[in-house]
Amino acid sequence: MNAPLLPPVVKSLVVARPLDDSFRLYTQDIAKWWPAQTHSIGGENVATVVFECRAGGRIFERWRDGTEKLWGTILEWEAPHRVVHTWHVATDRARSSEVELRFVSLGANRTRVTLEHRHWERMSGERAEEIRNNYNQG
Amino acid sequence: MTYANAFVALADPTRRAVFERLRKGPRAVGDIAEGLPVSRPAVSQHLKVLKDARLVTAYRDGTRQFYAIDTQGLSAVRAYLDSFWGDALNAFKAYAEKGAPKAHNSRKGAKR
Repeated sequence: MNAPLLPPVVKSLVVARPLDDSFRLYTQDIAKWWPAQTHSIGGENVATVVFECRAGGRIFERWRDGTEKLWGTILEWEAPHRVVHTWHVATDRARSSEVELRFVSLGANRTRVTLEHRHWERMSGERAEEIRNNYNQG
Repeated sequence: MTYANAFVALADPTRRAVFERLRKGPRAVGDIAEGLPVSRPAVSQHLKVLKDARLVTAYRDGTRQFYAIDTQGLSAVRAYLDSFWGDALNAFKAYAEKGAPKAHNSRKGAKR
């Protein structure tokens, strides 16, 4: 892997839940919290979001008509501490960016969640169109 | 939309290489082209695309034209992704702390 061309986007926050819960809710329960109306390809057509909790698993949105749109594939699965997955819409994996999630326990009921989106400059033209047309909240 | 143009511009490997060379500081076209397996006019064309996408800026120093990374254009792409993931993580926090069942949490810890 080459070093990122541009610095990654890093976001971090503390959740008032234990480590195991936080990890499980982020991954397994993604359909319950992901803002799919605005953060998806299908918008209002999205019926659910699926996070297949294993290495090699997929992350995708499923529409009401059954259409599935792939968001990425899980590269590393280290429950409940770490997940690395690709992030793309086109199937061209060479152009996909990469997201790493880290979960660190800060106490019985506190977990730090850190998200690092790297290689985002690799995202393809098609991907950019998807973002412009569908992910833009105005 | 700056971020869309930026992604298109950087999808090309040669343009990424051109862009990469500017990370160390402003350079003239000749310096950028040196060692790249493409002609100088081709490099100029790549620079134009990068400039249109607001990834690089051009300025003149005497008779020489220099190119540099356009930090404002990149800021727009980053700002978009920053807010995208910020929204997502905030939605997760809201759900984890209020919406999700406490099934796996027998003892209530010090909540804050």
